[in-house]
Amino acid sequence: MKRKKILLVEDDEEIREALSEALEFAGYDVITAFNGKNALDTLIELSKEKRPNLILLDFMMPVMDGPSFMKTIEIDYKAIFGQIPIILISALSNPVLTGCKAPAAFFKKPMILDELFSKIQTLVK
Amino acid sequence: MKKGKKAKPPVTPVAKLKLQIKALRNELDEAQETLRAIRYGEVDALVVNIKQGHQIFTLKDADQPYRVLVENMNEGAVTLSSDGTIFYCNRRFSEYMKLPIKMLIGTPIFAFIKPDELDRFIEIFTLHRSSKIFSDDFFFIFRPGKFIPLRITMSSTQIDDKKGICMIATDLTQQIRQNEYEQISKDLQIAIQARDEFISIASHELKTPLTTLLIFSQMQRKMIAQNDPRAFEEKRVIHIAEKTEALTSKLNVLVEDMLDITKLKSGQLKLVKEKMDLGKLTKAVLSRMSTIFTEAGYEQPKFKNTRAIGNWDPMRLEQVLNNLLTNAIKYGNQTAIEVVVTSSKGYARLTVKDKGEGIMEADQFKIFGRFERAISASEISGLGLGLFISKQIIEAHNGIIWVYSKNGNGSTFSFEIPMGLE
Repeated sequence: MKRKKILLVEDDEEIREALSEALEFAGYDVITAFNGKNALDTLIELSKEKRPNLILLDFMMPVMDGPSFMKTIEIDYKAIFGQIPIILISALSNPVLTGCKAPAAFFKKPMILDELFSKIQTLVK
Repeated sequence: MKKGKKAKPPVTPVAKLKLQIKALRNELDEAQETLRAIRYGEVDALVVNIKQGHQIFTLKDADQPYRVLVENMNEGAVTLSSDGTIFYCNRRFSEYMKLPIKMLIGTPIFAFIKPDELDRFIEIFTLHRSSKIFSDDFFFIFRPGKFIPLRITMSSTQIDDKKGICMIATDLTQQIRQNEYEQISKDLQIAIQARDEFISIASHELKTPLTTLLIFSQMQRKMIAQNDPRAFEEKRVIHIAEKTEALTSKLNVLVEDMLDITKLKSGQLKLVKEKMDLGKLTKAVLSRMSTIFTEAGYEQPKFKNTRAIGNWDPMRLEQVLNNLLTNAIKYGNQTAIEVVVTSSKGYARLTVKDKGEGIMEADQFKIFGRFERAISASEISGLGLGLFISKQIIEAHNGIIWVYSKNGNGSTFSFEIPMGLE
């Protein structure tokens, strides 16, 4: 069975590395990006068959944060990437999301991996 | 001579005068009582014996409503001569000044103005006594060293064919108190907002290393549960141990910064001073940070050193150095960093120079404040407390810390501290 792909967008190198390993352990192929803009560039470069089945997106990042990335997808790339489910993750207690549609799921850092994996599994089916 | 009748003893001049005084005092008491009664609207009419005989003057229909109004109004009312002498004042003004009306009448109004406001009062009084109306706020003295804030409105008037001034005084104590409460309330709201923002940033910063640590531990548990041999791979275990150590140290620094802030806030920052060499300390700090510089993509900083011996707190100065060097790494954009220690005329100076993005002029004043960062929180991690703590430490050493920067042309942070050896 073909492994599902996840785009992990996270600016903290340590979290990116650890979460990447955890997702691979859970059976996913992982593509990483270090901010929203980098994620967008990565998405555009990928061929259709290599596009991720899910995006795991950090909220607070330099250059382009999670919400700005979501808005850009919705406004400029809805037809191409609009169907990819997004899970938003944040260490903020009360992240405020305005001007874009709600993500498929939200997880507060530090996450319980079993819960995160279970949600990912449901969303990539 | 008739018998049985004793002759009256002659009235002495003194006794005569005493009798006259008594009679006059009675008249005066009566007059004062009449005036009081008129003032409080208790008199409807006066019967006055004049040359043409007794005449009745009715007060009720003419002046009484005005007198009642003036005496019962919530503002002080005063009539003044054009030279500022009080002709008359109402009960409220007498209450403001905490003096009886009879003591106020005849006194120049200037005697009640707070000395540092007197020139302004005289200027306005002189300028406006002939004009229609003016209003301004002044502090009036009601006891030595005690003041009441009054808003006075003056208008020129005619008193017995002479020019006079009618003055209304409103007590501003409540209004000032309310303004003060409003200001305190605003300040509190700003402080609460800053505190909430700080808690939000602090919890975010604490949760970031915690997230990685929790992923490591959950992964390790999962791998062991599934008998995954990678769980025991030496290289992986060492990697996790090193990362755990680095992340817990990071957490410790964050917690220490937060505790320092609490200490600084309550004035508990105590320096443990000893004779030390700032150059030597800087060299040691740079050596300890060499891996950090390399990993962040920097060359080792260029270091110029002069012996700078002084009586300082080495732990705290190391904290300042760490903060300045960490900032240079964060904002230096991988350009060359230069560190210089010099000493002259009883002072030591340390300078950390980078050629990075620099700081906009408007932000240069802010960055030493608590919870301040020149760029938004999402751009660079950290609590934004480093420079605030550094400033407090340098000031506790009786020194100064400053920045020279041009946006896009790097920043030079310097501090200068007295050697304190004498």
